[in-house]
Amino acid sequence: MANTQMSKAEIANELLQIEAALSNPRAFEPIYKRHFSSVYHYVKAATNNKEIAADICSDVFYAAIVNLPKFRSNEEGIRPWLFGIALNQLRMYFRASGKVMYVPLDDLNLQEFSTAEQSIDAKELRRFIALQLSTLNEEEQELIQLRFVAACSSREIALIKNTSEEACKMRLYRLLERMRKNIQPS
Amino acid sequence: MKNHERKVEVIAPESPSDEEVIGAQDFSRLVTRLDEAKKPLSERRLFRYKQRWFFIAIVILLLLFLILMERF
Repeated sequence: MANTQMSKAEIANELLQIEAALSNPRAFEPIYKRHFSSVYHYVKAATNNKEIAADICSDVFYAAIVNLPKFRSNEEGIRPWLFGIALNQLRMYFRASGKVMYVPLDDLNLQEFSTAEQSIDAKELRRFIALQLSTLNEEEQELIQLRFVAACSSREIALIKNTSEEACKMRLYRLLERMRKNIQPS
Repeated sequence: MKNHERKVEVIAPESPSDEEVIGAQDFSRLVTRLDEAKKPLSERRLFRYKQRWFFIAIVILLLLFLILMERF
């Protein structure tokens, strides 16, 4: 995924665009164009279907514009808020459809789930992780999705989940530790 | 939080192409949707009312046509 880090000047400019969009929704277009790609990547990764991903993204940005007055500015800009909306939309989609949630993990991210002593090939490791993920609750699954699929920082996840950065780091650390312990080759 | 027993599958990542991302973008559709939602309810009701009568008229015409076909 492309680098999504924004400078302070870019975030300040974005806040001005949000101000403008509050009175004229058409002024939201630059924000839409800037963040559509990362939201689409995230939703497409979870659904593995481009038509469904496009529909969900449309709902995400529609909800964002409608609820823009509720947005509280922060040093990370609007991105965590958009991901929070995407997370809710995905939650509703999976609950209603009962479809499989996909978690695409590259080789680098796969290493996070296995210890150095474990020598498991990527295909087998993906199977073990899927088994482990199915035992987690929705919130824990979403933490893994946000960290490894959406490549969100701990600060961003904390904003999405409305918690502190430290609590978020600790939660992820413990979750990964637990998963690593349970991933054992047969 | 309740676990809704999501089925999970871990796959190798496959990044969507730039064309796919651009193709999925449609800001004008969003604006149309917002404009539609802003329309007063009476306007939307009127549209549904007209739509319903248009449908009934077509059904009546079809029935008349069938009756006439049967007669002659």
